[in-house]
Amino acid sequence: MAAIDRRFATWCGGRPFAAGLLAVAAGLEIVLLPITGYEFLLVQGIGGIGSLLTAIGLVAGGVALWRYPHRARVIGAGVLLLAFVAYLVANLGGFLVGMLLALVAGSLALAWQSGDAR
Amino acid sequence: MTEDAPAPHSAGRTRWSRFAVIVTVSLALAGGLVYATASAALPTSFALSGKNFKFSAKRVEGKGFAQFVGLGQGSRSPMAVTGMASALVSGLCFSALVPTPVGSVTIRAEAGGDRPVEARNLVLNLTEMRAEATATNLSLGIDAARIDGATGITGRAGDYAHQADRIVITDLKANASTTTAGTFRMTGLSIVVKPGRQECF
Repeated sequence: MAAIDRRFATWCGGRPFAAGLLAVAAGLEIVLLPITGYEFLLVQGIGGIGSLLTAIGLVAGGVALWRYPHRARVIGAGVLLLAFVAYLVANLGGFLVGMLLALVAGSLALAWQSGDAR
Repeated sequence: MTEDAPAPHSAGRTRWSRFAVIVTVSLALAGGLVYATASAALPTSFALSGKNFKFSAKRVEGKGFAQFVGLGQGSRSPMAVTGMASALVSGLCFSALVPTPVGSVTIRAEAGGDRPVEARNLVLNLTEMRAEATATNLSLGIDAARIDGATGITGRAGDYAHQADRIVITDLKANASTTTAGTFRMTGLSIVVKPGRQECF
């Protein structure tokens, strides 16, 4: 157990883990908010597609942050950009919550310094 | 966390000072964005859906109005699909009750207090609606598949529908299951997130 914990801690330490997690959370919040009920969109408008696309982008960004930590700055800038896009096209960024999560995620990723580049 | 000498080559860290600068700048930009939409300089898009979603307005002046009965996906419950090509909405309020692990949370947005909100291609799927309405050039009993309104929505052939060139709705209170709007131009937008049930009506 302890070994697994330590392996996980090392894995987290090697990448902007919190940034990725927040980006994924932002994407999920944005896409899940409009469908909290059981009905899915009957008439799919530009708004529905916009929130779906931004959410996919944010989740992909979060996963990319874990997968490619050395690209954290580029991905972080993208996540930050998507946060603003989400505000405009996705229900005010999932009623601000998703936008704020994505803003913090992008900022964390941009502030990440990988161990290789001393 | 710490910069140990024998740190594995993969370990990295967050530079908190840089984070503080970036997050402050981006929050300021976000604030500017919110201000721009609240003052109606920027249009925003909406797509909401949920069984606890409420929509109310003091006054709606719609053009290209059409309404017909539609079924939700998986034909669970019938809904009044209501479309307007363009609308001026005063006293707009929409709220959603979101179930969370820590109890219900209300998300409520209000706009159009001073100047009306401009909406384009507004489509509301209503499960219940109470309002006073005055329609001009109203055609009742047309085929839902033959609606020629500008929103582009049509129903199934054979279903009942009505449409009007112009409609003025006052004291609208509706339970909507979904709403989409091509664009909303908000004026005096305020959004609140509150625990508990604090809906529009």
